[in-house]
Amino acid sequence: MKYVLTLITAFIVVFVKAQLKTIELGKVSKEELTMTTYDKDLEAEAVVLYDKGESYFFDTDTGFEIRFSRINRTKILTKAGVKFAEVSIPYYVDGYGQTEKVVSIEAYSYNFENGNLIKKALDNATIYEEKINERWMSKKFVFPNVKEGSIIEYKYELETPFQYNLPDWNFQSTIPTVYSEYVVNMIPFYEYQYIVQGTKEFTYNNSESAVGKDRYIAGSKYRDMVNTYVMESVPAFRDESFITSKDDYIIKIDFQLAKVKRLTGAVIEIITNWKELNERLLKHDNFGKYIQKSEKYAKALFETTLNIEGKTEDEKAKLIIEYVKSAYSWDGYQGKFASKKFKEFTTQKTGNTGNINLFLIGLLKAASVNAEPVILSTRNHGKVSAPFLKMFNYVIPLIKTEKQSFYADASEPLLAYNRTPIKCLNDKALQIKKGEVEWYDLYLNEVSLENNSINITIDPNNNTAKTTLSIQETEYDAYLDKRKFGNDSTKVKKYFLSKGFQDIDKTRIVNYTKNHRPFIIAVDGTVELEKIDGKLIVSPFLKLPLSENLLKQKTRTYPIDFIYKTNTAYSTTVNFPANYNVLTVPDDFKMANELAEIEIKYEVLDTKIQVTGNYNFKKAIYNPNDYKKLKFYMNTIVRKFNEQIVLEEIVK
Amino acid sequence: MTLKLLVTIIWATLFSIHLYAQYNAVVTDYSTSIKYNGYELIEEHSQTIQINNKRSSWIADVNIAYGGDEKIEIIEAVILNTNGVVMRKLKKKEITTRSNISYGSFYEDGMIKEFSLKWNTYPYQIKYTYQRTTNQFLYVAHWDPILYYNIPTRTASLRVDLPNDYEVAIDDPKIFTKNIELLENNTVMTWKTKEHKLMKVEKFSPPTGELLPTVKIIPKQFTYGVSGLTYSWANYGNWVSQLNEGLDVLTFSEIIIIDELIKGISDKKEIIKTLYYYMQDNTRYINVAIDVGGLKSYPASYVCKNKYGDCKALTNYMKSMLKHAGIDSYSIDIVAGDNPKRIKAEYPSQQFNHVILAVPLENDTIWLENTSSYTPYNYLGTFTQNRKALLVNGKKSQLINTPKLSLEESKEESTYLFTLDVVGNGELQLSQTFLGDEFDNHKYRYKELQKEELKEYLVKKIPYKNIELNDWKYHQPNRDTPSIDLEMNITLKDQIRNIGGSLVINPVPLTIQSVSSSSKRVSPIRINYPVYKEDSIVYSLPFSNNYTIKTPENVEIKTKYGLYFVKHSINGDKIEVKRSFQLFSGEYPVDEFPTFSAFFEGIRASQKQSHIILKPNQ
Repeated sequence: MKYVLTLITAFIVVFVKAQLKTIELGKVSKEELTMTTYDKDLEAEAVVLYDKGESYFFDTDTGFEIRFSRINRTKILTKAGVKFAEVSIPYYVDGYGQTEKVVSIEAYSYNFENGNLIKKALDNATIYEEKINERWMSKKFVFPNVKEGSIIEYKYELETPFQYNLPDWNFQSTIPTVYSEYVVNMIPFYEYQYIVQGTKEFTYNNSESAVGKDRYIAGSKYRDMVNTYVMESVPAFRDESFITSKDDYIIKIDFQLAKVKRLTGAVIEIITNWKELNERLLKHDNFGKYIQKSEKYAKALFETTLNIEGKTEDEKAKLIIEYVKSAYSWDGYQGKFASKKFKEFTTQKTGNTGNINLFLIGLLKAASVNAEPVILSTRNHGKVSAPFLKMFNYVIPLIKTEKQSFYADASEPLLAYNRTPIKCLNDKALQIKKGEVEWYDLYLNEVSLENNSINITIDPNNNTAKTTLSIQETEYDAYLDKRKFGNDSTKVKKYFLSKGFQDIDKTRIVNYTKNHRPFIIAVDGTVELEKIDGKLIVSPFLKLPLSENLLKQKTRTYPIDFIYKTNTAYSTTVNFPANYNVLTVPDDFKMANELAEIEIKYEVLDTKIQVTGNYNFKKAIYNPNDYKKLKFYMNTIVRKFNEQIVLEEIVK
Repeated sequence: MTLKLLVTIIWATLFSIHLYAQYNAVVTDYSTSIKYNGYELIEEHSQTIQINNKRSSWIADVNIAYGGDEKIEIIEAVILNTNGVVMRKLKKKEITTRSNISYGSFYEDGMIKEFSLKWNTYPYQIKYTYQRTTNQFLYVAHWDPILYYNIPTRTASLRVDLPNDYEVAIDDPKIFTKNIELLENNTVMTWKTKEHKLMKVEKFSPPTGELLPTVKIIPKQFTYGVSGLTYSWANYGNWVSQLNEGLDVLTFSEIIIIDELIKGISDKKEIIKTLYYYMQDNTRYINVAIDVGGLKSYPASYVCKNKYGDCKALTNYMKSMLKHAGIDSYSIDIVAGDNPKRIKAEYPSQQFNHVILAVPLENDTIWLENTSSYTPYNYLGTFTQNRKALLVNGKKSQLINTPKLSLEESKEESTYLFTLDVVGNGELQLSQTFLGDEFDNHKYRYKELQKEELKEYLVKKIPYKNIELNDWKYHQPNRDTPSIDLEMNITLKDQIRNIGGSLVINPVPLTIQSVSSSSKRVSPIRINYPVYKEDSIVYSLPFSNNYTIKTPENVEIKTKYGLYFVKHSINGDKIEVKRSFQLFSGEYPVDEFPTFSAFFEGIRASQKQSHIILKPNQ
């Protein structure tokens, strides 16, 4: 990567100088003031005209700190864009006396009124400090005098004593950006790795030594290395449905501290590769050592509470996972590290995902089950692309028994012992084990099944039908409905009253806590029928099927991520009275290919109609090229699964 | 006697098991003790909650909110087993603090203390006690026995200890067992209640806040920013006036602008309108609440400089501009919302959450809502119409009523022009005019949403499926008219069903809130503002001469609560359906609920018979 960087520099340097833009704080052009739309995106509610960040290392008596300064100029184009006049600058406090500081904020608004430029400065008394939590604070302000057409401009400086927090830079946001530049002045004492996402090349990219600006420390001379990254005309990132996370796609550059070089010549390797990341975690108090503590703790546990004697590996794994799930509860925080000290966790019986799953790994190891931690990034946290520790935010065990190999997560009691929550299904996980670097696929191959069995008995006198419905679900379909309904029959009742039932006599929830069995919801009640011109209209699948296409965009540039494979089946018997005739039944339908399968069949018997339908999406993630087909299939499902049967009374 | 007692205890035990086993959690005791020592108000809250299963363990994540000017101390926080044995004590360092900024607010100085009392074997109990101290307050007590809406309370009590020479007004509902103990220097009052069941949320009923049994104790003399009295609304209003005194100074540069704006205008209404437009076009709502900021306004100069403020600041700014123009106006403290908690007129005190402005003219009063850029001049929508409010005017302050939205002012009118072919593909031209509540909804979105978001909203609002919205246009005839027109051009598919050879058209019923005919209705009926929907649906069917058209029966339902009618007519190849629904504002006792819900049932029944059938000619 470094080679590439220097190479580009060699031939760009000459003409690039002209491309770099600078603005002077407080000087806006007439064009900027009078523009009413952004010609490259006519619907934009606001546009970032200029955004520049710069990081610089400065020395203090306690060592180097980083000063990050930023200038941002944004044009508000419509009323909807006025919200960008509210600014929040978060900063980190480590809890041990060290803190980042926002040392200065300057902000101005500009308006063009009656031919005059009206400039208003932010009153420093209106900058507020919010305490977001114990670690994060935020400086907040609102620009004065902002309306449609205003330009807002601010500059701030943030100082951080944490070299591992060298600020990252986003070139893209939810509104378009005309010009975005980030300059990092590196010093020879810290080495960083960086990764670029969302673009193959910058509009301009340069790295050069700060000639003529020699610096000295303890008698030795050094120079800054000035790294510049520029993107121009960056489109707005507008949210799309069925993607993993916005963070996976926006254009940005992230930095991670790799080496610290002391003046003495000693080099401290922070992280250079996956292998070292592994080793560091294994030595970490709140990771590897935490697992070791759990292993020791397990010995006593196996003697008193949890009897694992005589069990196979698979049985032991299951027993231990179920034990942790029932005895410990999740405090709602995620993390790859344990957040609470070991003793605290075992007395309080609650902790973050790190606490729970690292503890689980310790117990498994103590029971001689082959279990190793794997770390991953959850779906809303983006994909992992480089050995940056901060790219991971979650830890789970990978367990290999004589029968199977699987992941587990003891923080989620509603899932089977060998399943992880949906948020974990994001690309791949890194195994943390001495000496080896191994990646494991996180997607689950298993298909989630949903079977709907419906029995409809028509009562022509009341234009209703006695209806029994039973929905059986497995895997994530079951999990999502468990979370939706809880174990709460009133919620079930309320839901099905909106799905075609006019009355519900009975509801049943089965296997709410038995995670390894299908989750069943059963409902008995009365469904209202349409009577048109003396004919009875029956929806064989009630109002249960998809009623509109979820894929709404015309085209698609990102993969369509359904997360897991699904198969949905319906089987209905419609019983009708002998004095009725079947006037029309919809046509049968069948299609199948490598992407999806759709089938529906009608069979008319003496006084009943048998309807079976089934559709399945064969992949969890589809290529953007398949979008059109997928959209068409979904349309077909919506149409075919909502078709109706018409019955007519036999006139004697 | 002994036997009887024993029986009672057993019965009570059985009863409570029976009563609470079904719940995920129960507040077993909630007691509050409040003492005023002459300079500080000390409140101590102690609650014991039984958590029966993992699903309700969220209750063990405790958060306690407190104001920027209040002191808070957590005295005790423990986990108990069912025998009352302490399993764990919370340590001080486990308590964290964060800002408490409510939704819609930019900044507030209130904070939240948080800690977790989770345990792993069920059931278990958590108990925590905290003390809140303040020397600035408007209520000695504002207390109800319900900690969580969805969790029942077994026993709750309030104990208030006040000096004998401290004068208060007490508003306490009868459901409490009350006890008063008169001591030498102080009086101790207690209110107790048992077995408090869950509150039900019902449609067309007073808001929950009004239905909660609440003990309110109001000091007759108080200091909050400045000192005040609550013997009368004039007293209380005078305090509001004094708190906000001297905040009406405009900046010099603002005065120049204002003078320029109203130069040459002599008509008072025109001046008010000009200044109101100026404020609407140049300011916006941002709430920053610090210190007594909940009640005291920012000075007018703050809005002059920043061009933003909360309802108080913007109203004070508008008032100051009018004052500069020589026009008197008055702040109106009000409870905002489309179903507001009503003012208790007999207890003068701080009961408001919003402020607007009234400008009395010779034969007329102009009402100004100052927090939105799109509210028409002299218009109060469902947010502030028809309720008691306080006109703030020093010692002449008094309760007044805000004007009522009439039926005609709440009308929502739609015209659907369908042109369809025999399978139901074609076009729809939809023209709508919104007043009242829907005016507010549309005007807000029209102004505030990004184009794509607006399109998404409009598509959701169109009651037909298989549609494509091609084009739309909003039009407001005049910024002073509280009405907005919307024109939409829509392409549709599959709007006609073929049932056994006949064609069936289903006009989507008018959306009318459903009222279930439940026999267990608890609260009275309250309709705060009228609803009026009228539409005309015209189907243009060029192929229709091959068919015999059968329309459903016309419908007409007239009740004291409202009206509903549907009429059909056929004219050449056009079928027209005209529909109208009116619901009047009003209040009815709970025993009228069956006839009230029968009105809605009748509409629902008739809506089921709304198919238009086209039979092929032989």
